[in-house]
This record gives sequence, structure tokens and C-alpha cells, in this order.
Amino acid sequence: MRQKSDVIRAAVADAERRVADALRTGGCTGTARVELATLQAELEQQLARERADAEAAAHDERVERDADIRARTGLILAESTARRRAILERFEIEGSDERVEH
Amino acid sequence: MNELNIERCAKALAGAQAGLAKAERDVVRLSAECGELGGRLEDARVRHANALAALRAGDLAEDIAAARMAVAQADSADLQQMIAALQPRLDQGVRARDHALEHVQRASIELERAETAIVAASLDERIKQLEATLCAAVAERYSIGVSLAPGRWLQLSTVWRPSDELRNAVQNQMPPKR
Repeated sequence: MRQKSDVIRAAVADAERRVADALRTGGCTGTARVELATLQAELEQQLARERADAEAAAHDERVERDADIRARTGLILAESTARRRAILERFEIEGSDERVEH
Repeated sequence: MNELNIERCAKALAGAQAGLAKAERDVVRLSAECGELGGRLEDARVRHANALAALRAGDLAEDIAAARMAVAQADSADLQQMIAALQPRLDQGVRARDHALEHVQRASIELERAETAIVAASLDERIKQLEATLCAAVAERYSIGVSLAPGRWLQLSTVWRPSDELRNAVQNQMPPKR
């Protein structure tokens, strides 16, 4: 997916070309250089924002995944406990409740 | 094998199940994306065929029909390229899902083994207890038998004989019926 930083990066490249053109033709590079510096600073900021967004998204995903795994683990353990208890209780095994408790 | 092992196996299975769920979602998403692009490709082909048919029937001017066909053809080419680019990702997704499914199956087997080991250990312990209780009861019964017939040698089988099932288990290694 095209991100905002891609658009700014293209604008930076364009500004760089304009500076180079001005240098080649002996024209004034001042305006182009100011524009280039502004765009470069904007690009840095945008990249930092996108990195932060990506980190936050990855963190959220990890948190969600951990919660999902915890819930699944609880369910699996409950099922396992019930299965074992069903067998052990048939033989009146002492402490079968404690044995399979978690 | 103990409870900690069960917990470890349960966590591993939960992680594998979560991985499988994600892999399945990815495949569904990519398949839907592929299907949608396929639909649009079909639509572009129909537009091309319709423009050509209309041109042949004289319902469309040549320049308009040519423009429509060119657009439809360009759309088809782009869509084919997009589908071709998506296909390897879909194939990879399917492989990842199959792999995740195998992972779940392996983790399930591990959990089952851990469960079985705990149940087996508990049953072993219980069998020992029952055996000790049985021996104590037989000894007591024999002692009562002796006291009822003082001065006579008492054969154990006079007071207690194991059931056929128990004898078969001990002497012939035949497991009792469940």
C-alpha cells in the first residue's frame, strides 16, 4: 500500500531534481533548496510517525494474540481436566480433584 | 510428566491453534482478493466481447468500439498481472495454513500423551493401593478361617479363590475386560 511517506519521498526527489536543474543551468537554487529542506524534514517526521504507528499496531497485535492464546489455553486446560477427571473418578482415586486442578 | 507439562502442552496447543486461525484468515482474505480480481477480469473480458459484438452488429461506431475494446484489454492485462502477483502469496498462504494445521495436530498429540501419562501414573498408584487392600483383606479372612478351625492346616483356597478374571490376568497375562 502506498504510504504518505512515499508521496513525500517522490516530492523530495522532484525537489532534488529542481535543485540539480538550477545548478546545471546557472539559475537560482535558493527556493528549490528551501523547499527541499522542508520536504526532507517533513519526510523524516512522516517516517517517524509511520514507524510509531507500525510499532503500535505490532504491539496491539501482540497483545491481542497473547489474550487469544491465554483464552485458548484456559479452555484447553479445562477440557483436559474434565477428561482426566472423568477417568480418575471412575476408580475413586483419592485427590483426583486436586490432581487435575490447576 | 506432570501438571507443568500439561500446562506447557496446553500453551503450545493454544499457540498453534491461534496460528492456524490466523493462517486460515489469511487464506480466506487472499482467496477473496483473488476471487474479486477474477470477477473483474471476467467483467473486462465480457466488456471486450460486448464491444466487439456491437461493432460487428453495427451498433457501435468503429472508433468507440475500438476505444472500449482497448480499455477492456488494458484492464484485462492489468488484472491478469495483479492475479499473477497475488497467486504466489495465496499458494504460500495455503502452505502456511497446512503447516499450521500439522503444528496443531502435533501439539494435540503431545497434550494427549501428557494427559495419558498423568492418568497412567494415578492408576498405577491406585492399583497398588487396591492390591494392598486386597492382600490385607485376604490375610484377615485367612486368619479368621484359621481361628474357626483351630489346630488344622487351612488351605488358602478354602477361604478365598481369585476370580477367573484376576487369575487370568496374573497367570496368563490376559487383561481384564474394561
